[in-house]
Amino acid sequence: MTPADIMAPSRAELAVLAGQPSPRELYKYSPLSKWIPESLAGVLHKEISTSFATKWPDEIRSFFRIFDHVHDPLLRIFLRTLEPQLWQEVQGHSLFSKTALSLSPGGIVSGFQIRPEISDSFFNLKLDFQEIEAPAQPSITGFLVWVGEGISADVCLEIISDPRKAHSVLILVVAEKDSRTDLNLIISGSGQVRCNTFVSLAGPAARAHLRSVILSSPSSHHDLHNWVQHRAPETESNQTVRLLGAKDSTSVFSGQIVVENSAPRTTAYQSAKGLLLDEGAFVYMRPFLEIYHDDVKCSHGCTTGFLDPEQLFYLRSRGISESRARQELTEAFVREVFSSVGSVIQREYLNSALKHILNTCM
Amino acid sequence: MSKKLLEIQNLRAGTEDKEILRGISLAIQPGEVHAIMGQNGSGKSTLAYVLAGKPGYEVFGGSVWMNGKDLLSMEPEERAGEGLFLAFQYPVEIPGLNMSTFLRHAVNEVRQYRGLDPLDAKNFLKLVREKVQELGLSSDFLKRAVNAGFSGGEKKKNEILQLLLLEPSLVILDETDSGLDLDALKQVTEHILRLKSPERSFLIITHYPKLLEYLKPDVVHVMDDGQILCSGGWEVVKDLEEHGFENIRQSVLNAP
Ligand SMILES: Nc1ncnc2c1ncn2[C@@H]1O[C@H](COP(=O)(O)OP(=O)(O)OP(=O)(O)O)[C@@H](O)[C@H]1O
Ligand SMILES: [Mg+2]
Repeated sequence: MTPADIMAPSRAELAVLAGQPSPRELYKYSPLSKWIPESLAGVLHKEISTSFATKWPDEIRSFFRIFDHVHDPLLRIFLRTLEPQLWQEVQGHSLFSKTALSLSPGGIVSGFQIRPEISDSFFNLKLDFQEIEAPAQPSITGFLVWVGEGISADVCLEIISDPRKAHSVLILVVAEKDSRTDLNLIISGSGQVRCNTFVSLAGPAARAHLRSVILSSPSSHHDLHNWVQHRAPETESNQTVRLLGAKDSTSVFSGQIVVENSAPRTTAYQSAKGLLLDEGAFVYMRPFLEIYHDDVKCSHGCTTGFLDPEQLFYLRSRGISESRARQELTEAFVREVFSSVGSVIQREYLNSALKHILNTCM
Repeated sequence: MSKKLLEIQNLRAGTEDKEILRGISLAIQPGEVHAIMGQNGSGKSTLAYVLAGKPGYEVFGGSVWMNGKDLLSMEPEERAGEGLFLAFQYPVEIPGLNMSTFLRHAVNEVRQYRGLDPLDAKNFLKLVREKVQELGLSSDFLKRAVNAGFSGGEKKKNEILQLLLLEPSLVILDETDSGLDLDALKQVTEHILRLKSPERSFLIITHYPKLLEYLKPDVVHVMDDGQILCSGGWEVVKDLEEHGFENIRQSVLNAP
């Protein structure tokens, strides 16, 4: 098979674009038609004839091939339509940089390449769809994170959705031998965003920690879909997700862990918790495990509920007013995600970003 | 007689479908130490929770007055402001909430209730660090999340830390002496002893005479099935220790 064969969209995918969610999409709770507007579907039809194989250099193609068998129409559209010249390279920050680099994706499909060359590289990025000009069109923004052998990298991405249009974000991570990748994600805003994260632990002893906080505003719709693949022995993955449901909002998390037969002595953990703050808040969660090897350690846990009355009472019994107690507990609920961030500076950066969002929109 | 700190009159309370406290009456004067002993499940913690205003418990009858005010009509945070403090039998873990943030809010909200200015960050930290050290807790204690991953002893000491900071007038200790090693028990006892004052009263729930030996309770109550079976002085503790609970129950029931 050539890459071009593999990348051609199937009939089912085209059906999806015509507005009918495939059975595979249904489990994700939000029909893809909601996310792929007609203008994007048009792009796909136009681009079908383009040969993927000729557009990209070998090196990038080999990166993409790792995701060949991911059946995600969005990913295919992205890979087929992104022009190599639209690919922007993102430089790492120093450890002490406290500001985020604001990204402005141009056009319908755009991509950013993150390729740390030295260990302890930090990428603090912000993608604010409310600030991007000409937001009237939906878009797919892709990130290619390529962490080479023995490299450690922290990527922090803040996504702010826009009430005017739905946007999609794809994050593709390839982790090579002995590398460490920390991917910290904060989604907020009052619009619609769908974020798909594809992580492939491709080399032995590669490690990845995905921490995600999904905040919501009245009537926002935020989706996060993690797909973590273990391809090599002794790889390690960890997913921690917190979803906060505001009034009339919808938040979705689906997390898939795939342990290939080629990945013995793998550990994979996933913990997702949803907190419902108000009436009419919806939080959907769905863990998925696909394991093709016996010698693995895997666990996952999903819970959704309201603030714990025991915790609330504990704070109030110490004189803290009910409204303050609720606020503190809500913040604590999401902050817990970042408690395992290794670098103190990075942890503070993430917590202050969180605090800022919670103070301004909750 | 008139200056009662706490007066419980024929209190009946429990959960929605079950009466747990079946008519409790007791009065505590300022500066007094009262102890409550009684078998597992007799309703000791329930009494403490109802006094502190825990949601989920219902009052079916009776009244509780603290400093002449109707305690049962107050929110839990108001009760804390009025000077009631409950050291929990099982303090709840709150991952993600930093100890020093928690303590600062607690201290300053209680100060505000009492008409005092809030402590600034510097003075607050100085005060808290001092207490943390006195309790023999490590200096990174304040950076940890509230009770999350604390050992049993650390949780109990954390209750004492909050007690020291909030300066209550009525201290309810629910088995604060359980789960402590001998050194920790000594430390905690010393702190409680130092807090004894003519204005401050204690209601101590315990299964062991050890803590009481130091604190010398003025009154000891024995609780049984949601009622106070009998009350007395130190002889009640001795009686319990020597003859056991069942014996006391029999002699009370057989009394004319
Ligand atoms: N929220 C509740 N829901 C249902 N039952 C309860 C609740 N709280 C207490 N109870 C019941 O009421 C009774 C008294 O419980 P409580 O915890 O007050 O006992 P205790 O005297 O403190 O016991 P221990 O010495 O074991 O701490 C028990 O039978 C308990 O199961
Ligand atoms: Mg108890």
